[in-house]
Amino acid sequence: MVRVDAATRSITSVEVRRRLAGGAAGAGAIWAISDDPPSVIRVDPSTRSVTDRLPLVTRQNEATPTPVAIAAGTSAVWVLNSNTATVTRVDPVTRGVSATIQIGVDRVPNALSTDGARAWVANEDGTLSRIDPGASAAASIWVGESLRQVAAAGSRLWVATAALDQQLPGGGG
Amino acid sequence: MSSPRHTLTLLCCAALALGGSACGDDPPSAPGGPPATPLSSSICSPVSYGGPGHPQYLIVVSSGFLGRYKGHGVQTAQAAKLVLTQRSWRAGKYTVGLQACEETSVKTGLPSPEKCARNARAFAENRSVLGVIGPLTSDCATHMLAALNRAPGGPLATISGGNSYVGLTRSGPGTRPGEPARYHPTGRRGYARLAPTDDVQGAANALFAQRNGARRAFVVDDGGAYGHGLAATFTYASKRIGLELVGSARWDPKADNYRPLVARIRATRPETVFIAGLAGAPELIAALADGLGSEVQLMGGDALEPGSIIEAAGSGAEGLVISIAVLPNSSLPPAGRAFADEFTKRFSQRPCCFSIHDAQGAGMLLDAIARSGGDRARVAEAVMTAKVGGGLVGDFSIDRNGDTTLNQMGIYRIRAGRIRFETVITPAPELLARE
Repeated sequence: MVRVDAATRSITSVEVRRRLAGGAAGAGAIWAISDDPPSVIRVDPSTRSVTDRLPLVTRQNEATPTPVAIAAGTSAVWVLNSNTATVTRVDPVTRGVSATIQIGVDRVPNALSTDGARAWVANEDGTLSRIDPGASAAASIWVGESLRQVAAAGSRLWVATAALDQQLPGGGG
Repeated sequence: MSSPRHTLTLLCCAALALGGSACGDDPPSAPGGPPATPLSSSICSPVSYGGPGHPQYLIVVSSGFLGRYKGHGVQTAQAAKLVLTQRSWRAGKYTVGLQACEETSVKTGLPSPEKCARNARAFAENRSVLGVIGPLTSDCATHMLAALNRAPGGPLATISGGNSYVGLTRSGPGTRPGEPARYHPTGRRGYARLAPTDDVQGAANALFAQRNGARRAFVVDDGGAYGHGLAATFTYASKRIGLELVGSARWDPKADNYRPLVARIRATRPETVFIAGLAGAPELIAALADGLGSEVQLMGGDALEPGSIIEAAGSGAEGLVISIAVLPNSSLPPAGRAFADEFTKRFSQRPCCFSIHDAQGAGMLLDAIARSGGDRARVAEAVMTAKVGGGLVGDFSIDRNGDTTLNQMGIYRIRAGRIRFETVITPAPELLARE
């Protein structure tokens, strides 16, 4: 992981020793995900050192979550696992997994963001899923087309959409 | 499954306004009647249900939601949800919910034999499940059908919108010993399909090649049930119309490169190459386009997925002909056009792939469940004897093997990086491998 000082443009490396797939800042730390093995890594920004490596699974296989995106809010760190269509909530205080929430394989989750409190997931089926703090399930609403990215800005969300129907037909045999 | 031709748009939503629920998106507030037992969340989505109380029964969508075919899975689930919504999540006096289950390998992005078999076992063991929409591919079906056929109280009714391998329902060119009996071990049938089988697809491709001036054809397949069977039906029809077969070969999806195969094909001086299979097809097409040039017409069956081919072959994908038993929405019968319009209005995109067929299958399952008394065998019997008038894909019936009586094949071509409809072909009966 590399820290770039925006003012001086100086670069500092933090040795993580894992292949990283994403990162986020929030809840008093820098958080990163690795897909090998599936885990969340916490970095203390002041000491620039790894303080925790939180495993997301005990044994990795096709059925276990593989993280692809991370977002850090004020009281939770959220991790999107697209292969299992789930979101893992990490408690930044206890530094452990506090819940795994299903989005649904039929929604095909693509991207994750947080408005500070809640997590938002952009899905291929055109829905946007909302996970409230402490919730055990996601609520999904229809937006349209296929959602590829989501960004939260205050009370508004921005999503990038793509027209799925321009790629097909084609079949599975 | 990305394409350089996506339309990308930014939409802005007021976050605080997003509290409402869309149909089937949130669970019902109170139970009503004996509730269905959901399938495990480790393999399937949560239950979608928008009716009163709880669903009493389930239908499941088994499809691909990862990798190359995820667009198909998304649209199949959307189509099924729309049908259930239109019917108020009811089949007669019964309430029905929907779950969607993944059959794709994370590693390959293609249907996983292990997941296909696992899904089938899970569906069979759960007595709340009265019907299956799927699977997506014929290869997956070969790993599912026996377990679904042996389901307690069954067979468990299964309707696929797109499976096309002949051997799933009857014997014929390219089918394997023991087929189709191995898929229906109880002797009672419960598997129906709504797309024409590969003898129609093979014949339509041979006819199209000939009508476009080809006299010499080479056939390649991937060795899978679908690929091998489709290649055999193309060969069968080609011989009957006088299209000379100058060679045939099997490609190895794990090969380091296809240069030796391309050289072998080039040496036979074909005017068209028919590609039958799934795994490694985009890379093979890229190699064929590069090695044979644009003078040789490349064509293939409905497993060829345009987005991944364009990504792999770039401009080499131009002119590729793909057959699929799906007609443009404008060519659908009135009920199909109305459904397509509603789908477009609801999901902000046109239905593609086999989603109209899958919607037809969902409707047939609900009709069958309505008359079943919750009995799996009666659901299957109703599906296997279905006669559909004014359906989404036309007027048709299910024959004694479980196949549709519809025989139309759409021919598409990649032009300017997009898949475009070319024509529809209905092969004459004498070109079909029927006993």
